[in-house]
Amino acid sequence: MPPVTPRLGSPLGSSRKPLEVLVADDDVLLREFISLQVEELGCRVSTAEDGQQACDALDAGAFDVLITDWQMPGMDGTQLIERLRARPPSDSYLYIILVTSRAAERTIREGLQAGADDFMYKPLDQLQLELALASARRIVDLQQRLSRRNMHLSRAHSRVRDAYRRIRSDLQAAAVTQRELLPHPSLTGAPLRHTSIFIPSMEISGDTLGVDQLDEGRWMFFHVDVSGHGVPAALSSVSAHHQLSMLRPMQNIDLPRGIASLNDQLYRRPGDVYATMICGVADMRSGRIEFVRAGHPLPLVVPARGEPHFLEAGGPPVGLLPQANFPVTEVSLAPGDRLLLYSDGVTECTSPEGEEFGEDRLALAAGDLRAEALEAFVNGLRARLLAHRGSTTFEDDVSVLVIERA
Amino acid sequence: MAEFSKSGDVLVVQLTEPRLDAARAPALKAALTQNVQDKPDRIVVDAQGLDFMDSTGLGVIVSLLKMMGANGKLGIVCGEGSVRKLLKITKLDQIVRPFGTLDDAVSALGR
Repeated sequence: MPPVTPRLGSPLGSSRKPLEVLVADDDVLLREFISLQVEELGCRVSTAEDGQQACDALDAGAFDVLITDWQMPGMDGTQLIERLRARPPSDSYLYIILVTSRAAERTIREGLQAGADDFMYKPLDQLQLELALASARRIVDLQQRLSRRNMHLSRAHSRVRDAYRRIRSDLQAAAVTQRELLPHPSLTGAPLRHTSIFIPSMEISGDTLGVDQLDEGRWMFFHVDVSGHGVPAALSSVSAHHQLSMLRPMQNIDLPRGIASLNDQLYRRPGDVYATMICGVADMRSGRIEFVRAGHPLPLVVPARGEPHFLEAGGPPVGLLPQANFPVTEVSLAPGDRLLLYSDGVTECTSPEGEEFGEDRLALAAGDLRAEALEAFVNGLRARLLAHRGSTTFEDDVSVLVIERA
Repeated sequence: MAEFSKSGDVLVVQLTEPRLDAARAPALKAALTQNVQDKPDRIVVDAQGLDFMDSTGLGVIVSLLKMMGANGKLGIVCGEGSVRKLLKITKLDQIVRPFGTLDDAVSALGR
């Protein structure tokens, strides 16, 4: 038995859904001939007697292919194609074949311009139809695959967008909660004034700070920077904030012991999370401040008169080493003197040229601004930092705590 | 990220990138975990090519201490730049000893 050669586009060559074909021709004989041939190629056929009927049929049903004659009463083939191509784009593509005479070069160009995909020339024969419908099949299949892929991409995009909105909304809520932990500035009180700068690199920060009054003349303060940034650092910073706040009810805060205990807890936790911090007690009756510096950037003393200077004593960060010691540093503030604590996000903040803000620039700024009232002093520092950065976004969390003896 | 070699009984970890920050730290941590498994006593990190290290990077370097034996000694070759400054500020220069050259570090730590 000889092998069966399937016709192009026939169901023998494919198990796909048959093409829906609309044949528009005012010549009944030609219309019937085309319909019969197209049906034999495994397609489903509908017919229209002129351009208007074709438009109505296309409005009413879904077709893959239109085979239209050029010359028809009323709307001719080219006008029909122009009108169809002017319709709003839809998900499915209508492949249009214009039937004309081979000699009608101008008509062919006009048809191409109007949006015809292919041409068949009279006298029609079966091979022309097979070739044209095979091309149509490929384009229609390709368009359907693209359409399905676009639909999947669109759904995936929508899911990602929803997830992003949800995460962003959660982060914003978390940021509000985190800011509520921060102390309200005290700019005109006595004997202690304080204020801060707090700029997370993402919505939430691995930095935190606190100022709590212990009794009439004493305050506890802390400034913490958890390594890394983003959500893990922020969660650890909130935890550290809570644990440092728990030191407050102690009658006489044992700073080295409190920080060593925090060190042991953080060291035992899995992962490489650690924190640098300064935690201290300020007695504003005498101006004496005792604090522990655990790996934190060097605190800057900004005297009301005299040059700013850094205090270098301290111990290692919290959570890096087992059984570390945290020595206490003492400093005295005269009225009007300030103590400035900051995270490494300040000194490591780079300019567009890649130059770090650095300790020298920080000390210079503090010296230039020291005659300003506390609020203007901190606003001036912020402005210098932003000017150096050349942007309002930072790679690392930025925070500053300034304490002033009134 | 890092190349590993032995110099006598000292394991030398040479950092091959100029930055060690939050973006690069996990890859270095993975390389260290994979290559430092037999609890060595002496490690020198050659960070001469390192221009910038942030707190996350420092955490990874110090995590080497946890991978070493109980009497492990860790050194770092880092010149006088920002890495040494960071070690000084964090007081970690008492634990992770800084050296000017690899030869100095290996001869000081080697037995």
